[in-house]
Amino acid sequence: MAAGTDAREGVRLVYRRFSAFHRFNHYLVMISFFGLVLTGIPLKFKDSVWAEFFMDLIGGVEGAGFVHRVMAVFNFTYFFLEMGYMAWYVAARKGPLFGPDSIVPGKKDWQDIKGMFRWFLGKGPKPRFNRFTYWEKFDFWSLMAGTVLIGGTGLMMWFPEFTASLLPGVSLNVALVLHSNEAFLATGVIFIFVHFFSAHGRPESFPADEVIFSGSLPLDHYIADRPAEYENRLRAGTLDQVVRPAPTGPMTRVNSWLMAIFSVVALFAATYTMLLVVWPLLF
Amino acid sequence: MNLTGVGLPRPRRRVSRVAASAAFSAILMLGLFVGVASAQDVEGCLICHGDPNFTDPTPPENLEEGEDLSLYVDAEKFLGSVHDELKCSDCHKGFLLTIPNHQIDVDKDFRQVAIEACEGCHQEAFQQYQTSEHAQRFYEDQAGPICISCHGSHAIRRVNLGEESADFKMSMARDSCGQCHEDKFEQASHEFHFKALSLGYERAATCFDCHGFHDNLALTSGEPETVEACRQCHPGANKGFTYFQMHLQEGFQDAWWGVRAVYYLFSTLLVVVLVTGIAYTTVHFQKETRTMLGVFGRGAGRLFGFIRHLEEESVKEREGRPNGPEDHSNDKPENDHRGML
Ligand code: HEC
Ligand code: HEC
Ligand code: HEC
Ligand code: HEC
Ligand code: HEC
Ligand code: HEC
Ligand code: HEC
Repeated sequence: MAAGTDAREGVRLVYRRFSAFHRFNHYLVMISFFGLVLTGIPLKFKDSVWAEFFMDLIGGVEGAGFVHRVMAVFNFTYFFLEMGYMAWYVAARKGPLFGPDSIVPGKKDWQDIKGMFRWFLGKGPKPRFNRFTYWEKFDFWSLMAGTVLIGGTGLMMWFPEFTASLLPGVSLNVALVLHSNEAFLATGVIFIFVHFFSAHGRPESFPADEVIFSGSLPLDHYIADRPAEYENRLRAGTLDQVVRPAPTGPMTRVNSWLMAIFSVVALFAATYTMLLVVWPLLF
Repeated sequence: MNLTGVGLPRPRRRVSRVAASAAFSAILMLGLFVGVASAQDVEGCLICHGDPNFTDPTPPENLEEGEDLSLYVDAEKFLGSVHDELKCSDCHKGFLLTIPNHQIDVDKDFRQVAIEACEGCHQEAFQQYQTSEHAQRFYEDQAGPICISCHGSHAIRRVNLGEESADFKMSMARDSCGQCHEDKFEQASHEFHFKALSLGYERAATCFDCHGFHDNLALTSGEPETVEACRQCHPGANKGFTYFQMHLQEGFQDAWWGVRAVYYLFSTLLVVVLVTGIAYTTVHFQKETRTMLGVFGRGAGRLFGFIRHLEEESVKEREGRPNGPEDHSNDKPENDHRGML
């Protein structure tokens, strides 16, 4: 019998990786990220022939500005929720902040990176990952850092007069440069090259990793993917915290639909960005 | 003071007036006939001047060989302009259809006459203009603009003071101010207000919103006029607000060092992260794909093996799916792990 299937009753078991809270946050990230990119990029690349077309489509600069601000609020929401959660995680002693289950980078990540490069070169086995791999941590923390930078400078420009009452006006020039460069970094690099490829584009999860939508993944995938966490839990006897019978009922369908929808939206956002950014370089 | 006596360069005639009159009196006779028949100033003038190929038969001497001086007036543009109700002779005073050489006083420079005509109908604008640095520079060495440098002559657009369209604001900046202040326009076009403007946001500021148009041109950061200029749209603006640098080169070479530092830092970061990001992802992606698909054999067989694997997976999933929630209500996960050991 395959691993992950109850020998007696044929019940499929899954590993529950993300709680409803985390999935909700991921939705916020997705929606706000796409919203911000779609409404912000045309302004940065206004020389592209597509800029005016897309801008008109989303209600002109005024409409886009409004949507951009609403999305910015979503952005702050997930940031504070996530930071609040982290504070609670520590306060409620859910686990050590630097423990194996934590998103905080530690010594093991450095070893994993080295191990990974050895594996790339065929000089060793693939490292055995804990709950979060180093690239997931990088993904997460670059997003959080980016949110602080983009959010802070965005607020400065949202209320330029207030900013100027505290700082000289040239700080607004700095804010714009920072906002626009960091946004580009986030979109072009983190988003398309790091997150899309490493989280959703790898062969085992292509075209989108279901786990962030359904919250769980088949037990055998889990064991193959995160062997270190599995062994830790086995040894500590805490596997029952994360292993569940596979969810059934209408929610599973809803999740699949949402995943499909967001995959299409993501594809659209990537094409859109490419049209605006790469098109002017080529033509 | 008015514009009379300011010497605009007058074109000199190649052929003497006496000889020339013979050459085109024939045309003028025709014009006379048609002109009297239509009796309409605009329509009558456009019979000749409405022809796109209509050039001066007696061009000035300083014209290059082979080049023509077009006397064409685009009727459609003129009738679409704000002056569509004016007669040609309201500006071209002294031009009549009914006289042979159709300018009463041929010694008057027709341009001069037309330009001075603006003043007659737009007293207020002219008075304002008179006080500006532009007028001073014009009277000094003709480098400053006059009415037609900014507004044009035959296709003058309606201004709609207070509710200008984005297109009007943009074309004023690009086609008039930008013609002489190229650097300032180039710099401003990378800035937020102009980006928004070029995407159709009419509330954003263009040159004349901040600098004024007929008077009050120069602005200096920190001065009360500049604060006032910003306050038109940013009511809470204070002195510090005006230290926002409006005109910066694209690469920020002329900016405050803080702006430059951030710009260079982030440009470098962008390149570094982009290059390492793409390189790393390619390696990771490729290794992972090969490892995974390697299980299924080599070459094309690998692909078929993989497809077969996917089919098996989906079959497994369908069969393994529990029949209903009650099926595992008394399920104890702990047991499973022992089973899996
Ligand atoms: C019969 C054809 C004809 C008609 C009708 C006509 N023009 Fe002209 N126009 C000419 C020609 C030919 C010239 C070139 C004269 C010259 O070089 O001295 C000219 C030149 C001009 C010029 C430039 C003068 C210069 O010195 O270069 C103006 C301004 C002008 N016309 C205005 C008018 C106006 C206003 C009307 C209507 C009232 C009008 N024209 C009707 C044939 C015509
Ligand atoms: C609002 C005033 C105004 C009106 C109305 C006007 N013009 Fe002019 N026109 C000018 C000015 C100013 C110039 C000089 C333009 C320059 O030097 O660039 C000019 C120049 C010309 C010229 C010389 C060639 C050129 O384009 O520079 C011709 C011909 C002419 N006008 C014909 C006409 C005709 C025909 C009409 C009527 C349909 C007309 N104008 C109506 C102001 C006017
Ligand atoms: C015969 C009088 C007359 C002359 C000469 C004249 N204009 Fe006008 N101009 C008018 C009138 C009348 C209007 C208003 C038209 C309307 O509102 O429909 C106007 C409107 C304008 C406007 C638009 C104002 C607005 O509020 O939209 C501009 C700009 C303008 N003229 C510039 C000029 C320039 C530049 C010249 C000289 C080349 C000139 N005018 C010569 C009568 C004249
Ligand atoms: C430096 C460029 C420039 C020059 C020179 C200039 N204008 Fe203007 N003018 C403008 C601009 C820009 C506007 C529109 C301002 C706005 O929309 O707020 C304007 C508006 C106008 C208006 C309509 C608004 C009002 O104030 O009534 C008239 C009429 C006008 N100009 C006439 C003239 C005349 C006549 C002259 C020559 C004495 C002249 N302009 C010279 C740039 C110029
Ligand atoms: C025909 C060319 C010309 C056009 C068109 C023109 N300007 Fe000017 N402008 C000048 C010249 C020449 C000066 C005085 C020399 C200088 O200081 O640069 C000047 C001066 C200025 C100054 C003051 C600069 C200083 O150093 O004191 C400002 C601001 C300005 N113009 C704004 C504008 C705006 C806004 C427009 C469009 C509405 C405009 N100009 C259109 C030629 C032009
Ligand atoms: C948002 C307001 C704003 C807009 C729009 C704007 N400027 Fe300026 N401009 C300023 C301020 C403030 C200064 C003085 C401080 C500086 O140089 O940054 C200035 C400086 C200038 C100067 C130098 C004047 C001097 O006294 O040294 C010129 C010339 C000028 N601008 C032309 C233009 C032209 C042309 C445009 C349109 C393409 C334009 N400006 C658009 C605000 C503006
Ligand atoms: C004609 C109106 C108008 C004038 C005049 C004007 N602005 Fe603006 N400005 C706007 C609009 C509209 C926005 C965008 C507001 C929004 O939707 O956030 C804006 C946004 C800004 C921003 C925030 C965007 C950014 O790039 O950081 C700054 C800073 C700014 N203006 C500076 C100035 C300064 C400095 C002046 C005076 C020299 C000035 N503005 C004059 C209309 C104007």
